[in-house]
Amino acid sequence: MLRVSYGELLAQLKQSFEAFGYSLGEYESAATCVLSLELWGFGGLALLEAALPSLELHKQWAPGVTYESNALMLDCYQGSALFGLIPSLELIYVKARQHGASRATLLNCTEPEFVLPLLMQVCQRGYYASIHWPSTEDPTQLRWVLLEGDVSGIRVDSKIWQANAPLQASVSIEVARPDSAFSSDHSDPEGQGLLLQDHWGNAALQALFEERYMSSVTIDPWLWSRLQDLGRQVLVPSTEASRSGAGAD
Amino acid sequence: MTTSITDQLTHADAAIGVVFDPRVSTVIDDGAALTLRPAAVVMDLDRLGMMQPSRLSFMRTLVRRMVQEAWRITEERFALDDHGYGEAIYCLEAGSESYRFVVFSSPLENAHRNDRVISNQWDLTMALVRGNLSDAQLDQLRLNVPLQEAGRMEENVLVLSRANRSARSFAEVVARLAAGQQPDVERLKIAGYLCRTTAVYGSGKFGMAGWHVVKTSCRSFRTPFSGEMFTCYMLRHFSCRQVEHIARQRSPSSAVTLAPEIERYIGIGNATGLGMAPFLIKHPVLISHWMTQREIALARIMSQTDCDAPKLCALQSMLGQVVQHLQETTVAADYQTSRNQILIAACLALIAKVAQPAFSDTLKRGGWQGLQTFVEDHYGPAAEELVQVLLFELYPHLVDPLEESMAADETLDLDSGMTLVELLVLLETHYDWALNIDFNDPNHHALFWYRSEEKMEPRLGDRACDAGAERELPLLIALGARQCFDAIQKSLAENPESLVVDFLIGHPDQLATVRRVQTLCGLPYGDIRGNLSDRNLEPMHLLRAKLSFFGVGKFDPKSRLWVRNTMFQGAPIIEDLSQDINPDHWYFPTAPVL
Repeated sequence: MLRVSYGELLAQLKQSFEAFGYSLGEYESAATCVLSLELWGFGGLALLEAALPSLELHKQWAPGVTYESNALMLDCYQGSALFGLIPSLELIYVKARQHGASRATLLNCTEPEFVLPLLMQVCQRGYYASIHWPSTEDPTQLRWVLLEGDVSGIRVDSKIWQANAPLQASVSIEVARPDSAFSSDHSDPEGQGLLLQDHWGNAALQALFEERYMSSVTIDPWLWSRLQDLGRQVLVPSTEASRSGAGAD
Repeated sequence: MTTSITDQLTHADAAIGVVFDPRVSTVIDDGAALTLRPAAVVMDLDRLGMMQPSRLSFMRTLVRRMVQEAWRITEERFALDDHGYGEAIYCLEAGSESYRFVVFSSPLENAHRNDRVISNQWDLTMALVRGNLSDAQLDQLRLNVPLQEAGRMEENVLVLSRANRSARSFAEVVARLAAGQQPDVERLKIAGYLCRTTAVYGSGKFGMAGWHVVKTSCRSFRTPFSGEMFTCYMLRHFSCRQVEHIARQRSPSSAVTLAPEIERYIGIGNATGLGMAPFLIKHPVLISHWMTQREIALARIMSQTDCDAPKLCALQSMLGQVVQHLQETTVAADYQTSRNQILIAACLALIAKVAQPAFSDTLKRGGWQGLQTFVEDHYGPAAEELVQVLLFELYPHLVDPLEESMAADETLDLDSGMTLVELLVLLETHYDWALNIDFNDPNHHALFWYRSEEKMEPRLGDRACDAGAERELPLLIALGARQCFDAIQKSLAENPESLVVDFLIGHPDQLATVRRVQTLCGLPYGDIRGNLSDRNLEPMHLLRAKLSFFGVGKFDPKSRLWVRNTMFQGAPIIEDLSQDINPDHWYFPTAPVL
């Protein structure tokens, strides 16, 4: 494994995502998402590695947005949650701000974990958020994350629940103001029954984050090399003319 | 007309942060309201090109810290051959912290010695390392530091740099020392350094410790660029020891060491190209922070009423020092020579003016604001910027505490619930300078910035004739503001009630501009007010602005795209750090008289 610094990885991710053709705001946010997931122990780099082929295939998609009865329906058309969802997540937040709470369902979304950092940003404004989705490996397992926070930090709980039958392949998101009726109860979110794993406690998660934040990040050399290859696509070939126009004689 | 998918928020609910009036910015400072200069003045690109180093420059604050905290620097290894090739290690002890400065000196043919960042061979390569050095890490540094960008560093490495010997001074100083003579001061006035850096890397590049780590866990280097500046300071020290060593090997019986006065006058050279410019655009919150501290310092001084005879006398003395400094400065570009001459004339005129009893009496009654107004009216903005930094020297207690506020959280906020009309107003109010540019005129959209595949060097291209415009760097803030403004107007025509989030769903490419506008409406000095794609752009102004924050002197443009300058000239040498000296005597340094 290769060791890279936090800033170095962030810069490389931005440059690599820029090569996909996204705008500055979009690729900066995507890079931050990957890094945040890695630092929080949710395997951002592994998710990215898995997502890269589809990211290269499905560039510049935008979700189909419908809104009914204070609930949003977002069709991602098999696009990764890494891109294209920032405005939609902001819309969920605005709805919660207006009405106390709002819900959204993401259909046909790959790598829904990438929504987590976006929800963290919402929670830093003093909101609660929860997200759950069926595991890709085992559709009878429900991954569930609850976030709450403010400008001083984020508290995260993550659990895995076992259902009796395969779950619908959609992602459910809820955002709520702290004064709303939103439940921060960590009990079974959709009547799935059995708690398989209490994935992270707050203290452990925070400790992990701080430890990783203050040290370097390890990355698969193949992935690093792939990111560098992607990043090179935004560079302009050098010519004598460009050399003479850019610095010392 | 489409229907908004969001409801209207109240104005108060949607407001983000504190929005400042761009015409007048006021801060509450120690309970009193201070009026800062408007952003239209401070952030004007031409004016930024007139900035001068000040007490708040990073070199000045570093040296103050070194003296005040009695940093102890010792030589741990000095293993050079007769020609000065080999390695040296210095230990810094600062309070409970220790660091190592490691430098490698290698042979380099003259043909391979140049100032470009795209070079791949250097006379000297070096690193600043936190803590102790094990043999294993030293071996790792020997392998990787000379490779620079192609190497990988351990996470306790803070800074990586390289330098070349000055063709104008290095060999000559060696020859004179070997002959038992001190360096020719007249020659040092022309090139006041022995070595010149061509890049100084920090902030987590190539595996090094990230800025967030340095900021929180390296107390000695907690302020921006202090590790980088210290590396240059140590390079200066090493370069002096290196010439002495070579001279001694060449002529053991006659060689002398540098006189302390001469050594203080020897700085370190620096060559800077366009690479510095994107930083100023990509870090608007940090830049606003830096500029704000300067402006607060200025406003604090403008509110003082003790414009008395001793202070006016000190100001005259400093102006005289600036005159001498500029007279001793040799630059290649005619326009820079002309600028220096104009400043000299302004300083001499102001010295004479302040000596007039009637004028000094006026100042004593009216305070420093009267002086500022007079200088601006009679000598122009370059002189105004100069006099400001000189006034800083008169009030260290008002200025120096601000150095601890130079770091900033650089997050750009997004308020998606703001009404789109409000965002439009923010653009109209704070980006009027951008909206006044006619981008349909090809001359206003002539240049583009891009990264070359050669070490990702930032370069400028001409849209009319150069390739690469489709991969340009997103540095054109003015154009971005215009495009966002136009898109908002179109959206509002369809739905006057819409919110920012509605706009972003249809225009996700505007996310960065919206964040920037919403954040910087509360920070007066984040955006440089200039069109970076204008055919008549002077990139040198950008370089000058950033280099003034570093604190460089002898600003010597070699073309419109790159500049040589001198760092730490006149600064205390290591032997001075343990003495009871004034760490701030070295502004606008002048040549010693032996």
